Amino acid sequence: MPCRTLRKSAQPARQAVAECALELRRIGDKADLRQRILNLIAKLFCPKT
Amino acid sequence: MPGSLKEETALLLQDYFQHRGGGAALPPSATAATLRRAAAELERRERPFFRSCAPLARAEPREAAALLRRVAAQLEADGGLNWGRLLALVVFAGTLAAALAERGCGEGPRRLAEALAAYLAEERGEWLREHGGWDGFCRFFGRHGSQPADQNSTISNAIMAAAGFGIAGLAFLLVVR
Repeated sequence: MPCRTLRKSAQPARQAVAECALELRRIGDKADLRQRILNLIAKLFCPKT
Repeated sequence: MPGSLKEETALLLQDYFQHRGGGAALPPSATAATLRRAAAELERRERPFFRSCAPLARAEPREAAALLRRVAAQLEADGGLNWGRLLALVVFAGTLAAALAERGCGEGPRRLAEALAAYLAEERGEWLREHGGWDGFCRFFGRHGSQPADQNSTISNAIMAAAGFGIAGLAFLLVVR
């Protein structure tokens, strides 16, 4: 059954995409927050730069 | 103009992908330099994850580009886009591009840069423009803290200032008592 085979092989691919997106979201949010904090610290303590 | 944003994005991405693949050319602009630096730092911090992503680019460039678009769509499905997510997506695309180039697919990086540029400039163009375009990216990642030396300097300044306040507070308490 080609359809069934296709569904079976598509399942892990979909899962890989979902896991990848989830991890990228976590990494991206962490990088965003880190940079916001650095920018805030820089603004408070090095206002001239 | 969506065309110019798309072209600018594609050029920036192609420059980063070439640099990631070992290209020694100087960055063509301050924005390209900021993107290279911020992306390299994120890739260094999250190296195990990005290395584990390389095998995802086992197919041809067109399929890798389709995978990139699916990941991008799911990435922003919850909570939208922010500069950190955009940077993570660029580093992920760079990982796929490097993996394709290593397998001898020379046009892979260009195809991925075009696919991601089309996604960012056309589907997320409104968000990009609202946040100042690539100049906004430069302001966010380029001002302070992207260079490790700058970060150390900023953090040292903060620690020194906090220590200063603490000493002043203690002196005040001693005088009052």
